Amino acid sequence: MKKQIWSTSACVVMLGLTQAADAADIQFRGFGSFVGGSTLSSDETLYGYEDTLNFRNDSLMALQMDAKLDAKLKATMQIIGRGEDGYEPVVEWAYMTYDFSDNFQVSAGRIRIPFYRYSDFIDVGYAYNWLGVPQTVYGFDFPGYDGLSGVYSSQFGSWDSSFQVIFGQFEGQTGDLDATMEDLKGFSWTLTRDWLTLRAGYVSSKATIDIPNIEQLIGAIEPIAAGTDVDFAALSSALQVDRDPGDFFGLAVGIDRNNILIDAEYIEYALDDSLIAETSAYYLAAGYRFGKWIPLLTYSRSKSDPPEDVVNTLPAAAPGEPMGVSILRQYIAGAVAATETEIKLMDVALRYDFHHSAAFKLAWTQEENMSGDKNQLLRFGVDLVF
Amino acid sequence: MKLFSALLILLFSVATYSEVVVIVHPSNNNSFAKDEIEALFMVKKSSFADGAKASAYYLSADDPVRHQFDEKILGKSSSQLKAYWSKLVFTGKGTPPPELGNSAEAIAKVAGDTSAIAYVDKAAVKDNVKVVFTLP
Repeated sequence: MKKQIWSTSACVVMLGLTQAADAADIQFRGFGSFVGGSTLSSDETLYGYEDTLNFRNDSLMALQMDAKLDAKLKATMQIIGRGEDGYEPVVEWAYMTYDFSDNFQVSAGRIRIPFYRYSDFIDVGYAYNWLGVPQTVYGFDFPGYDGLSGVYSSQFGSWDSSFQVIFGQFEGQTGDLDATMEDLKGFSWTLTRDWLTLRAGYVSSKATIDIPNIEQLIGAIEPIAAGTDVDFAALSSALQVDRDPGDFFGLAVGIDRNNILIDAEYIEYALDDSLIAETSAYYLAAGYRFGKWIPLLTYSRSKSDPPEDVVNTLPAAAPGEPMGVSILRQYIAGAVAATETEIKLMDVALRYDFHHSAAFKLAWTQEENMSGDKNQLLRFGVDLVF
Repeated sequence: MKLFSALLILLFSVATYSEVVVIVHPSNNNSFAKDEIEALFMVKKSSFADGAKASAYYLSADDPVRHQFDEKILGKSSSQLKAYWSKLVFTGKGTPPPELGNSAEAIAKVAGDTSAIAYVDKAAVKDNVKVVFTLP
């Protein structure tokens, strides 16, 4: 009797499986990185690393499920567990794709915002030669948006072109800050010809970001402003990132010819009517492929220009003005000046493809700030895809 | 010792110098230049010159024939090719061709599928498939 029940349920299970296989062709793939690192001395910190060996910050494991419903319709979900979050799984991509033709596909769901050349596969360390992308350029980091993406692929002579348009919204966290982006729209255009890749991208939105430092500043100046006829609401709004128009623009060039590798990317972004500095950054990387070994040198620089026009929210300095107004102006000018930063980054990385699906990497990274303080980080790790 | 090294060299040569050919179904009458083959195996094209549907098949990453094909026709090391597909797969922009275990499996697949195109070790080819290109 027991045996009978067992075989009945086995039949049910088998039928179920067969049906599932009929309904959709499901594939699982994934990638992972295991990275360890530490700074070179006790007074240095960089990207969350200190001078004790840390294996969590850059380690991750991800699983992607692709369900092909038919030749044109597909559903995709990517779950990433990051070491820094105790490998707690988070669904970072979840979208359905419909192929209108061989050249044109539309995806809907949660998708990565295509800010940078490496944005879309920034977590897939195996797909690039650095151990980590240069943070001077890639620091402006938002995870997936919710909305639509259309990709049009075509060929012009010997150029392959891929044009992506996005539209949607973002609600979540950038770094540790709560943020939203409304009216998020943008495009990215990649042209590839043999050994040359060119890319341009643009993203704009109305952004809101809760920044504790700005809230503290507003809290500090409120009592001062109260004693003057300064429009405090307008002043706070000029400091906060509250539905302010933001633009992001990027250009990239990649060369992979006769084992010589050259990569360059330039980006700039601005958030109007806020205390966020207008920032521009670039990197230049050069490497050489010696069979399975690739050494790669990177130099990068980022510069943030203080948003001077915030001060103009206050009335122009005039003799005999109330003291409160002068103090306010000093406060604001100080906060504006403090947003100026300039960071130089140097990175030396080595990749070794020890397996057809895995690479070992070693990297030394140094960031130097405006006052000449240097922080150096040594990292090693393994990236794999499966 | 000498014998051992001679044997090694022999084994190595056999592995390296197996001739690689591209095969299609015998009913497929298209002609194939190297560029055309590259486009089909990079899935930049999904139809043959006559407009019929084309499905390319890779061999598994452990197969020495795969290595030669990747280098000579696709112009990429197997790692570079893997990195290329990783970029597309994990961003939803493309899927690599399915992999078959070995030349015998690939020949069986192509013999039974008019849309199939694959590369195999020439020594394994029988008359149930058509050779359209021989790797230099």
